[in-house]
Amino acid sequence: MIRLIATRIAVSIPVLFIMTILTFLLASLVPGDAATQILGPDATPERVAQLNAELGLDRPVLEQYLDWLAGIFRGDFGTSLFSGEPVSRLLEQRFWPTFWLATFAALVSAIIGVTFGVVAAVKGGWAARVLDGIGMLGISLPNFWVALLLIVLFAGTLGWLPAVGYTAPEDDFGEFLSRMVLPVTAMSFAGVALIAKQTRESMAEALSRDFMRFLQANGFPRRRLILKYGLRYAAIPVLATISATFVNHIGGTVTLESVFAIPGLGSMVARGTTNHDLANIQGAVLLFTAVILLVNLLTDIVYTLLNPKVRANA
Amino acid sequence: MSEPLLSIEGLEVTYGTGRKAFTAVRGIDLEIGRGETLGVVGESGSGKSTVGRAILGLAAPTAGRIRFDGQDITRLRRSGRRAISADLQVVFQDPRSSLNEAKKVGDILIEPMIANKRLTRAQSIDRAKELLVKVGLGEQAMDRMPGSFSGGQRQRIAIARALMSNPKLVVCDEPVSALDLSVQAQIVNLFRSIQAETGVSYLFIAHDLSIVRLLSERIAVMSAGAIVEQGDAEEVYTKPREAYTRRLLAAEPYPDPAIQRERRKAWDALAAGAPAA
Amino acid sequence: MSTAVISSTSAAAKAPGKLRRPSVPVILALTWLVIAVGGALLADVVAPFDPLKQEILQAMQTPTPEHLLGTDVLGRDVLSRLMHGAGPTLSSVAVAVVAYTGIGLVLGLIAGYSGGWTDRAVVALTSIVIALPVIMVLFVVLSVFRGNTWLAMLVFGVLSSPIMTLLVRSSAIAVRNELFVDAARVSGLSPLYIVFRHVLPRSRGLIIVQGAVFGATALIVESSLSYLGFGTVPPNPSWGNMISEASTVITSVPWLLVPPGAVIALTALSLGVIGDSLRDSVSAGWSTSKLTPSGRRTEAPRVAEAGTGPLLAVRDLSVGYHSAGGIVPIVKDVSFEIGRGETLGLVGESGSGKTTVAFGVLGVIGEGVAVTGGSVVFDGADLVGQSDAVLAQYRGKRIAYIAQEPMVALGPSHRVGDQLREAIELNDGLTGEAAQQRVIELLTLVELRDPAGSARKYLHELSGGMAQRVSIAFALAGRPELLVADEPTTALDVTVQAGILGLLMRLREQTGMSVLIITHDWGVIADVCDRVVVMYKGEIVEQATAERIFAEPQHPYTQALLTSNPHGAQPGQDLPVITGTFTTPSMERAALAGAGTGAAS
Repeated sequence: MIRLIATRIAVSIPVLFIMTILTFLLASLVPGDAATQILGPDATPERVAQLNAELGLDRPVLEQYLDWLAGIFRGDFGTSLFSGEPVSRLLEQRFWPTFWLATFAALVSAIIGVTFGVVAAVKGGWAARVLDGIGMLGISLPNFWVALLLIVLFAGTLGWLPAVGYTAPEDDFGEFLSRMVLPVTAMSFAGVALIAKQTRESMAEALSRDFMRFLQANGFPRRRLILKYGLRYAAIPVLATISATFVNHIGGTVTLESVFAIPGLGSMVARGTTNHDLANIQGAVLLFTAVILLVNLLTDIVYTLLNPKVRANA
Repeated sequence: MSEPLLSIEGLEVTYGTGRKAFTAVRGIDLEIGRGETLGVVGESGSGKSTVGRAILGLAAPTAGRIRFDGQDITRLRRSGRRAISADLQVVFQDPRSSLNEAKKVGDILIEPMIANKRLTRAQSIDRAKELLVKVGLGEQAMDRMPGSFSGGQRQRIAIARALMSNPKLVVCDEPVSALDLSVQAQIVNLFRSIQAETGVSYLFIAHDLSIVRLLSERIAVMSAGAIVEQGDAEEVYTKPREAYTRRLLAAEPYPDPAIQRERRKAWDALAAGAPAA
Repeated sequence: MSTAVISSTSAAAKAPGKLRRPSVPVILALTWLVIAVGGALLADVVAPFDPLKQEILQAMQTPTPEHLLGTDVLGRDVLSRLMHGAGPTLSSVAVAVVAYTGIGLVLGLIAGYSGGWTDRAVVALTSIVIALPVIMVLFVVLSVFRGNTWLAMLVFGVLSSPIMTLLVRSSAIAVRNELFVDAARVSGLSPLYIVFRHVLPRSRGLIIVQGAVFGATALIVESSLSYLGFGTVPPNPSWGNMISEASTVITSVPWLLVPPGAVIALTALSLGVIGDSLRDSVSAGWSTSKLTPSGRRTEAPRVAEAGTGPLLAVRDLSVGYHSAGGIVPIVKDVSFEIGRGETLGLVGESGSGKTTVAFGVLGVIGEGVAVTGGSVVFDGADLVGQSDAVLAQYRGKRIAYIAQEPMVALGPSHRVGDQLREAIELNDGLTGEAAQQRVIELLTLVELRDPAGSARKYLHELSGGMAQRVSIAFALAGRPELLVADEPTTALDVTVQAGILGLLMRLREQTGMSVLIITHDWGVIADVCDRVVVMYKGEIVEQATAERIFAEPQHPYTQALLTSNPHGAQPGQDLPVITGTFTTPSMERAALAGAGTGAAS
């Protein structure tokens, strides 16, 4: 168990470093662009050079990188080129909306997806076919498009829910929830489909195992076999899918936060990419990477707890 | 006496390294003469299949020597394997996994011949048809998929594949264990008639002494990676010297209630001292 | 045996590498893809309007005969823009799919087939790449190389390829471990030959499926990027930026959202449908459930007084499975009885239906299989078609079961002691400390050396013999009157078999229970049975006492089966073999009926 966690951390550290190098070095492939961006295309070359010097962009790339890396260890992610704010403060402010969105969507996907999957596996026949159809739609519809349709329907035509925007839960919890409904729904669509599909497959696999017949013949009730032994057997692949869904959702925040004007990390990445605000992107991407690695680590730990074979060897 | 077709001295096979190392067989000495059948009998985990795989080059020996037809084949490279593959063939236990389901029976038989440039395409097709008739399936089996045959028929195809290059030795790794009693009898008879006709030698691996003794001149009994007893087939079957062989024989139930009652008593007496499995 | 019949026929129908005739959804999906690609390729020729031509006066129209899909904010023809937008969109998806499939295929085959350090290196590399947040990398790439969607999608394909690599690798490993690959190696064939001739054809289905599904994902990602403004730069159209433009006017003309969204969804859906149907045709399909659904009858009709008559009376039991052509019989009109304290052997070869009879008696025939006639009367009550509530009074409590494969009989994720305790609580009414004590008592009864230690183990930590003893303890938990043992020693070594059969006989003496033992082994019959039922092709051809069946077998099939036994054979001589087929009772009846009506010719 401890060995497994150690291995996972050993993989995580190079991943984080690769991400820092990728983000930083890719960015430095086009030096001076930032200054041109800020000053506009009409700026004189002297002015551009001067600003580059002020921003420290004229030094060797390696030196800039090490400086930046050292800063990160102190919690200093640099300064946003456009707003001039420290990136670390932006990350702090923008972390929570994204966190709520991704987490709620993962929870909703997991609960609905697992329920659908179990029902389809047990009922078979038409229930399974309906689920197949929904599942196929779920992964075929672009989430931002679904989001726009939801806005047209629920915010526009029906007027039941606010269209866009975000309210922090500590400010007004009811408002927070009502503004979360549409983005979470749009985001969960694909997650529900994927998790339901995986649950159905794993559950069908569990039900086809010989021990189901053995235990049923020896007096174990069907409900207990499905909900205790079946779910437990299916747990590992389903958990992997839930974890992958969460990771997908983090990627999905970039588009959905832009659609719903949610001031989170995702829209920060989108805006940063448009504005060429590299400090912002670097900070947000690193934070996302760290969160994803953490989720993977947690998933691995739960795996080990669930699988007696791995547990015995670790 | 001339040199035996196959001789094994001090064979040891260890899988894995370090803490996970596991020695499957050690100190194995065996010989098989031309036209002879050696039966190898043992329970699961006895290492009997590993001996066969070492001869075939599918398991790497960690010690000892294997000589085949006057040549040291202990650690042959692929080109060497290809050179002797005409003389050394195999029939496996599981007729389902031993044939590629995606290929026609004809292709399964002729592809190795063509790939190794042993026969031309036309020659291999003729040979394949001849063998399919010999194993009792008929020429029309050429164009069918393995999936459309029963377990016993698939085993006939596997035997035909082994015979394509007219081998001197066929390693038979539990070739009848997965088959029904009636089919088992047919396949045993087929092995026998092929031997009578071609003079091929068999290394016949099985867990069932009563089957092995029908085909073998000599029998080696294996347990826990070593040979515990080796000798003339009828002697091993009727007058076993070692306690392990006696246990193995006593455990096999006999299809006659009166005889089996006596054997059961004898077994209970034998087992009283031994630990429960 | 019922399940064996079903799975073997479906395996034959779905031999790997063979694709079935495409279904209607697949044909529709392929048609759409042809239309989409064709529209993209021929946009310059067939598009009705210039995609950039603005007609402000005709802006924001819903469909008209002139503009089939309406016009956008600037009065440009939506249909023409969709056709011209398809090119950039689909080509960048293709770039991603080619990178994903190509890299995954090469690395996966190399790693999976060669194993060793190559495999370890590839796995280490993939596990690092797979942990990268791919979408985030894309934004970094796009922030540096602005608007370069092809590059972004190439990166997307490359960084996603570990998924394909690992799938191909495990499929290659599975094939490598097949005996036919060993046979190819014995023939000295080169690894390259084996990979191309044996491994690749088996992985082909998987690769197409995975490629199609990834194509759908790549399409969604591409349109997201282009929606956010990182793809094709307006005024040039792409499917994603058309949605983006439509989103500015959703309150006034929501219609504009529909065409671009629908083409993206249709294309992704088509790729998904093709992938899914291919997967179904290359995999063995859905495994059938071994859990038997509840019957409808809620009261067990009394056929006879309890306590009188035989313990079990099976009358004209017929079982079949549903197939496209109707019900295929597995067991036909089987009748036999088991007395109290009696041991009955049910003997037959594979496909004889003997296991199906056992499942029928237990009421656990599984899904897709049904009792089509007859009754199973246990202590006077007919159990066929009863609901779970009625059967709960019998299963485990009065009738118990041990299976052929002890290593898969119990749940793999719970300790065997905990499962046994559950069985005791369900079937013997004990709870708490008493139940725990009974666990140890039962494990001692089945002569396990370390009962307390074994109770703490998981199934995979036990040997086959130990696992079968645990199964027997399980079956004994409810103090049953009838034990159904389906080939209980077939999977075990012969010395272990002798021990298990001895244990069963001792337990039978102690408890006085009846035993129904299913086997193909005449030795087992001689060892433990009082009476024997011989089955052939789903029917009973003979039943008699054990003594008599060995001494004077009546039916030709029984005679043939007994003589093909190697025990009686002489070394150096051919074994007698069964040839041809034998007459079963139903064939005799049919012949008689034919003769009776004079219809026989």
